Amino acid sequence: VTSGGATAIEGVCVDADRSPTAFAAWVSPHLPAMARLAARLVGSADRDDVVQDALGRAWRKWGTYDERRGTARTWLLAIVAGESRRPRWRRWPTRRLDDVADVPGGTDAFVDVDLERAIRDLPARMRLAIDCVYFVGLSVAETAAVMGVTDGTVKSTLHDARQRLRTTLEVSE
Amino acid sequence: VSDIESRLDRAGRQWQQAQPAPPDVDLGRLGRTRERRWIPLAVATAVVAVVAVAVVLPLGRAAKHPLLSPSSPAPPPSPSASVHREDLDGDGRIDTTTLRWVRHSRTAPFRGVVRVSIDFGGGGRTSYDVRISRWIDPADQERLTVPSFGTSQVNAVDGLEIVVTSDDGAASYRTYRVLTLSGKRQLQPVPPPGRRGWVTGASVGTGALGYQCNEASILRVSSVPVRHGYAVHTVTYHWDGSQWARWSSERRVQRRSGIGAWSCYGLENL
Repeated sequence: VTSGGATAIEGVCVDADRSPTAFAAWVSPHLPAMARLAARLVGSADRDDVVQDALGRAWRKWGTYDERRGTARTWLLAIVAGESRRPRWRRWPTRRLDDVADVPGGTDAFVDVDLERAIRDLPARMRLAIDCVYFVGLSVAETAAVMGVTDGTVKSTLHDARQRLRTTLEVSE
Repeated sequence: VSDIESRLDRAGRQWQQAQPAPPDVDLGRLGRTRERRWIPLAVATAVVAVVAVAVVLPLGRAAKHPLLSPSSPAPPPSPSASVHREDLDGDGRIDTTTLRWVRHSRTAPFRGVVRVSIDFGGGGRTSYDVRISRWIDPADQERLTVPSFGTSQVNAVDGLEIVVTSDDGAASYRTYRVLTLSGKRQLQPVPPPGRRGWVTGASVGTGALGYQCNEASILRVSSVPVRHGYAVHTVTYHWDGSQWARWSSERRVQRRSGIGAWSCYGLENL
């Protein structure tokens, strides 16, 4: 019989502080990226809820985190991505950019509305790749870890997405 | 750099600058467990059970014939059971998982039915019967043991899945049943990604088939030998709550074959 978490929890407990405060300190450097990814995936209104839900889940699973399989940043971002796919956040893809306020930061900053609209019309996988790389600021390798695919798949997905965006924007213009 | 790339770069930078500060970690929400919606159901089940016992037992005593015929075969003695303690449902309490043979084939004792039971740390019990096509313990082929099983987060949803070996086939070929807890804390099978069932295996001449669990997806990796190595086909699936959704696929030729087993935390030694 093998265990999904007890061993790791025990292993970490030996030499690490597992308190909520220690967890908060551990995740704090990654909060901006987590918030950015959540904002892209579910919109600004639900961003904080998704981040807190993801943090709760990460806290429960902290003992299973294995640094050999990826960085803390990609581990946390993958949890955010998974949390954003839950049905209660699914209403996001149907939103439209009819009001600028729906675009995060839209009222105070220049927003390329056509580009945002074109991105939101992309298939989910392409949209996630574009969001991760250009808006969250992840590398290709980090994006691959978040999406659960290989680097090559991310590159080809980005290429296809850019091609589709180019076509869409050329037609609309 | 193409026009669309520079446009995306610019839009991304401006969007990032306009973002408000991220939320602080809400320590009060960290330890909060999921809502226990099963409590009303458990209470109702308990009431029904009490009523049933109160009504059925006197009826059984009053009957001329016993409820169970003396000639009905007694269940076979369980040769062994395997017990595993871990929090499966994510409520923070240790649950006890037991695997036990409940039925054997008359001609082939290594074939039969195994019952997977969970005694929840917070009270309650559920079970699920898994048909075993063949189980011969690789560590002790003379003795009939309980099929190997492990726990891991297979479908990227809170709580762990139970992976039971259902056919220990030739060479390294194995099939599995994957069970998960529903919202009503009932064990139910998780369908496999793809059409071939939950299968792993690897051999030098024929290739390999295995799974890799990620935080948000599962990768099904299959490889077949080709002229200069192996053609490895990796398909990524996401769990949408009831089934696997195919997310992406990739084929590449490489010198080494892909994985031929589970690459999931907790299932490495399955």
